Amino acid sequence: MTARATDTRALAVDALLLAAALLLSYLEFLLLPAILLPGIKLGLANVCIMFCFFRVGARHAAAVSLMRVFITALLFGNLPSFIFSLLGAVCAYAALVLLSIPGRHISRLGQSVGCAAAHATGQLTAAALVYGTAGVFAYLPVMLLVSVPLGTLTGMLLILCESKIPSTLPTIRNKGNV
Amino acid sequence: MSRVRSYVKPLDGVVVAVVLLAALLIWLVPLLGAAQGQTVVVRTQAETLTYPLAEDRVIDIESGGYHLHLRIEAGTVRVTDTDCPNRLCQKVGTISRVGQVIVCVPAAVLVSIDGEADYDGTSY
Repeated sequence: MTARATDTRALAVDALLLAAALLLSYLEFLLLPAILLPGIKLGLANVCIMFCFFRVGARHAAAVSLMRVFITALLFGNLPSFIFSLLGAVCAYAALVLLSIPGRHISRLGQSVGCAAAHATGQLTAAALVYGTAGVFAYLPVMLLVSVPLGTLTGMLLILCESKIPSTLPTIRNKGNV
Repeated sequence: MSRVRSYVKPLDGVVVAVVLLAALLIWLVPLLGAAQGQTVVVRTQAETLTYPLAEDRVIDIESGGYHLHLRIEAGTVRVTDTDCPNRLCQKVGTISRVGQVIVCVPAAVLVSIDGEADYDGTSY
């Protein structure tokens, strides 16, 4: 396969994962009123981002994550929710990069929990900036606590996705210069 | 179960431990210093209002196209009703200690508790 064909293929996979991430974000948006605690969501879209990170490449995952934040904000957000989402996504991505360094000493479960916790921290930092008060950090312990089971859940989903989604996808990183 | 165990790596435990420890520390720190508040500060998109926490009253707010009804009662404040679909602010319940907040993101309203009694009952 030529490099250009591989690029095109990676682009198609990115677009597919972005669409899936958007759908999962929408699903969570619909489920939000049903969840009792404020600001808590499953983080299903992160399964797509992490899948992209490990299958397609780190830079691809960054692009998909940012696009997801922008499009989600355009479709069903407002300015504060966009800033929350952006800082959450940036922090989660930073955690993902950091936690991918240990390689085989860490599993998808730990990486996912780290991402979830970083996402919560980023969102509350955004809230503190938007509202100009550190008082919102009072929510942080609850959100960190919840990020452990929810991060584990999304990590398990990711393990499932990575083992079930066919091997045509992983050839992208190996054959192309992407 | 053994399949699950084969997935888990040592650093997973470290990540979980760090997250839980951080949660515990952040939870403990405000508890040490937080005193009963004096003032209710209500920030909306348009204005900032302050009220004494000691005087019972009902406050109606309109912000970002939504309405919130607040009630100050017995030194605590809570959102009693809102037409915001999430109703997360209502689920927070009552707050009374310095630094505690109720946030409604769709309406862009922040209700917080201040320590100093510098209220004047008017908006500024």
